[in-house]
Amino acid sequence: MGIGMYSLVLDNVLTYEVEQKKDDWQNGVYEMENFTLNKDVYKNGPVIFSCKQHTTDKNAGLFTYYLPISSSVVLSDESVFTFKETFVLEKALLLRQADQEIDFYAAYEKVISYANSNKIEVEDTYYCVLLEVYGEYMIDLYVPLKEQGDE
Amino acid sequence: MIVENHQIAYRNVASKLYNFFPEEIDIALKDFDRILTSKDYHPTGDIFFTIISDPTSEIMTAELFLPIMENYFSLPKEEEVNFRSYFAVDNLLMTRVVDNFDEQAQVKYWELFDYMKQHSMSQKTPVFVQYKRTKSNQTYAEMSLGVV
Repeated sequence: MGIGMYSLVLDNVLTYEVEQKKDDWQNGVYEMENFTLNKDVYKNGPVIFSCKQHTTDKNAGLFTYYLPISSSVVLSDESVFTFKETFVLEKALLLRQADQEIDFYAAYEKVISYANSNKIEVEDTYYCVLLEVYGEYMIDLYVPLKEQGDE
Repeated sequence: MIVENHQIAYRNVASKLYNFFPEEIDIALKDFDRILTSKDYHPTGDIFFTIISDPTSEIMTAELFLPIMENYFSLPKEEEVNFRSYFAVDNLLMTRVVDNFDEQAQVKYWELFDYMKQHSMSQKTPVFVQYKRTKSNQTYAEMSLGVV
């Protein structure tokens, strides 16, 4: 499937940040899903995570997880989670990838080479939307264009 | 008939909370549609909503959901419209209402809760109602309830 220009917009998200090995990316997903079990909110969208490559360790990165929930929550100061009312990537390159194997780094490199050949400047952070299909994950991978953050 | 593991998933979904008399849901839906189309967004025609209030109360509180064609969305905060690029809830118990909607909806609503209790499940979401239409133009509704 091709690569195109899309937006990614989420309302009411819990976020969770952790520096970890890339192989451990699934831990954050479990961490977030457990959270909603104890609260008066429900998950109403796929878990998304962003990864920014570690500067020295190629196999690690700064991961931020986003869990869309049904309404706003007030979190205690000690909580490892933070709550955001909205999260927006106004313009991003999107690769819809239907691979059975999750290889988000390969997908990211595909988008980077597309960006380079089309002279589009992109950020070095990428966002993976984890779509669950028949108990397995497929990913939609977004790479935001430069000069726009997630704020 | 109740099925387990039903899922509701749409891309690009706008939603808004409404209070209305249950029989006037069409007015609420039209109002929401008008808000979206007046800002040049294009609802796809899919409709679903959650019943947030007690089903026996006179005024119904519901969150109406309308998927749109556009993947970018921005409205002033005072419109109180939410938007998500992805909407998905899973692990739902689901049952269909094919005719006598007003009367059957009440019956089916409680059937979902009875089924949940009988199977020692607990409630995770309010009841969702999806309006559906077959190719031969028969309309029906799917009512579902998220459980764990």
